[in-house]
Amino acid sequence: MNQLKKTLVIGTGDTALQVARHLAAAGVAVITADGRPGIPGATPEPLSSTGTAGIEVLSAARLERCEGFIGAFQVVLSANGQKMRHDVGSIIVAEAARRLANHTALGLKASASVQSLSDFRRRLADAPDPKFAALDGRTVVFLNGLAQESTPVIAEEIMQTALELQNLPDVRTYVLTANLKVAGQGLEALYHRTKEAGVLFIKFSANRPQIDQTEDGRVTIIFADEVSGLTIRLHPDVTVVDETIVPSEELQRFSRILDIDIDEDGFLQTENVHRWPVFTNRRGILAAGPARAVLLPDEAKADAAAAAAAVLGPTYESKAAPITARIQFGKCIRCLTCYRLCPYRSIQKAERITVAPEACEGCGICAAECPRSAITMGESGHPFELQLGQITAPAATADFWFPAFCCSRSAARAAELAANLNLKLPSGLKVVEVPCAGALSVRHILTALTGGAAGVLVLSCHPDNCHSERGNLLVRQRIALIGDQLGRMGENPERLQGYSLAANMPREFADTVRCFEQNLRQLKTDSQRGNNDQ
Amino acid sequence: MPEQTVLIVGGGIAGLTAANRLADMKISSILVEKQRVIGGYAGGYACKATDACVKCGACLVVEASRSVLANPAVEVITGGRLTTVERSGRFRFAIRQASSDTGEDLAREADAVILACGFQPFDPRSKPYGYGRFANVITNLELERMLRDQSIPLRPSDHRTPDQIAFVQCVGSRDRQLGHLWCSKVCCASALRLARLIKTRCPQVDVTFFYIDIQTFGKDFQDFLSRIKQEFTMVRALPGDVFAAEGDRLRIAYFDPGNRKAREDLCDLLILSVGITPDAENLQLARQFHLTPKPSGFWPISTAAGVFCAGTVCGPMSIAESIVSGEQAALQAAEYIRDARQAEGMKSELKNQSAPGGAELK
Repeated sequence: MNQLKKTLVIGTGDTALQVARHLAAAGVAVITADGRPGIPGATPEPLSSTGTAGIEVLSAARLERCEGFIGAFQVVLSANGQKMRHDVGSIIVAEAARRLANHTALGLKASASVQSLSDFRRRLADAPDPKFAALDGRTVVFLNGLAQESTPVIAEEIMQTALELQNLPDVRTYVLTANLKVAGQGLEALYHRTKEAGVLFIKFSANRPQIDQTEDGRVTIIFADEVSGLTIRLHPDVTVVDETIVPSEELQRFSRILDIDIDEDGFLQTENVHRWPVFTNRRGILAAGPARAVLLPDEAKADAAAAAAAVLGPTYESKAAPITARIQFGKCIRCLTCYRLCPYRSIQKAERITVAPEACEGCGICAAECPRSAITMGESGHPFELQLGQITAPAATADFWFPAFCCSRSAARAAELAANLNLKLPSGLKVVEVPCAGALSVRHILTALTGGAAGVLVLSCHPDNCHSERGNLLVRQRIALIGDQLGRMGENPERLQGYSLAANMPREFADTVRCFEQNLRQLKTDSQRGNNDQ
Repeated sequence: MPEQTVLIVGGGIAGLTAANRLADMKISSILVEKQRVIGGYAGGYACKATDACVKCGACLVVEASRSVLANPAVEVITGGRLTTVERSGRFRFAIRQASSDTGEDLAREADAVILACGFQPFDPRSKPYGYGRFANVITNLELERMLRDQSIPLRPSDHRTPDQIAFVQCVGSRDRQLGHLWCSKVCCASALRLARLIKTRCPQVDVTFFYIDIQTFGKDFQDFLSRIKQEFTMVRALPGDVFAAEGDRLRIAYFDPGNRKAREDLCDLLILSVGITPDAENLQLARQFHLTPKPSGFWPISTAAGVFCAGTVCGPMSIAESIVSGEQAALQAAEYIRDARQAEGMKSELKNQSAPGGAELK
């Protein structure tokens, strides 16, 4: 298949610009759309004026539709009432974040003497010299993190601004802060410079200052200082209210159109370590900088590079899953179970339901859940299915053995490490690697249980750590279902157990399999004793 | 033309990420790691999942190491150090390998260099917390190792499970006296996650947490914070002194900000969250690559043409940030190689044009 490198970069702001420049310099055609129609000056630095060849700028273009998959997306953008179709290989969302001033939460109303951090900084930057003339007085109080936990981004801006003010004649600057967020390059050094310049930092742990505002907008702040115990009363001429950084509202729409997961706060990357740094649940769609998290400028810049590197590295050629799902036309009844379950959106709905192998990560969830068994992994099934046949063949019946189905991303790696560390493992243990624990169907588990094994162990990733989002949860449901049935059939449901592990848990792997083995042996002894009693 | 190659110094998560990404971009690499195994510090960290993954990312090192080792485009040299570096067009360097039988250095060449040579955990013996004097005072890295190897914390003095543990944050970080004007960024997340892991596995353990400011981490930080405030005793102060107490216990003296009075608490195990500091061993490398560290001692992300720095050698970073940093360095190196090639191509084109005869002779 002819796969496109051409990339659509969506977003206003520095990160989108940086991504576009990296890609254009590498000879990759780039289209940028700023996503917000009709907002003049939405792009801080217009791309068209940067003169970078290879970047097609669609100012005020809006993403309307997206179909296809990595290497072959068809997107529809609209601008000035016109719709245009573009074929692109990848899509990078780098939409700038918004800021909400914390006035309400602090019980304050915006006025000349109560300003948001952004407004105040803008006013100060625009003020002619002498800058202090722009202040309606000489006492300035910054409020930081008192309503909601602050961020290094806001802390940096507050400290920079306070430092600048403190250096003006006769200005007295206070920073009233809860946890001061200095987890960013150079921020602790900035904090010290700011303190040395004479800015007073007053820290609050459990208590908060009492902040009152009169009708005419004047503010009084009263608090007991935690260090000295003294009650202090401040009458600031200007109160600067901190801001909470929130994702662009557009991301909700992008999430819908691009069919990608969104987190509770509205950022385009659910917190799953397998999506680090800039990946989403769909191949070829990336979220960089302010579209995925609150980041400092340098961190967002690194994100832009990571997103460009992900496009330039031929991930969809070299990283294609070795085995992908196939739907057998005759068997499929278009129930769309696979479509609903595929975490990577690789199922294509057309006249026939098909799988786009480029988009498939080979997790096997669809094959395990298809009610018609119409989906196979690869031509002849996943290797673990063949292994399943082998270990259940009569020839392989050692007197006591059990398979541990291990997710390739976690438990199988832990098993490898355990073996390398020479940890003691049961002799009857057969480690069977599966692409994702979610690939194990009810049928697979039953085959293993009825093939002579003493029991079956399923080891998945921890909740919230599944590359395919819910493969681990799906298999847990199946285990519960089978366990239930085993109980009703008079079998001991403890013969089937599921646990979660991580790749770096070799010790826990060894403990888990040993413990399971002991349990199985106990069960065997108990049932033999039971038989003898009868 | 020789194959495009990048020298990567350091096999921690930043270096591993860079090697993997360069291979994706069809650029081979030589990864030199001074330890016997790759993976770096994060390679030895414990999984901190409680009822669900807490997103520390330590498990990712396993996969990153594995794909580097399986990648034919990456030559991994462990137990190796650069002895000489020369630059005449390409970088030419010699690597001494500890395991070498012949004692001869390996000679290699590269078009660009990524220095991802990591950090040095702060040595807390100079602080008044009793490290090195009392067996039950350990660092967060030692606790990581302990939890990875044996799942639960045990007091080094008697291998018993502690009832009271305390964490001291910012040991060697945010410390003006030491001249360490930086926050190590990762210790709040790491210590609080470790504390919750211990609490999950040993519910009887009481945790006290000494800190200056709690730094944000993770997406559900606000929730996490309110939960830990209920579970742990949070003290916004750093202890002044630690003394030995009966039964190998420790007496922690501090100024209680609650009532502004001096106070002493007992604990069985004290964990010091030691900071990320510049590694003095890296100075040799800095000299070899004519690189000037920043006043803090950490390195800038790019310096001389073709030399890029990534990961914690540039400053404190989490695993997630080190991954981004490794990606960034991979792209910078690829861009540098591409631009150098283009410049070379243009030069030779010019040469051809100005050469007497040339095209007209045909």
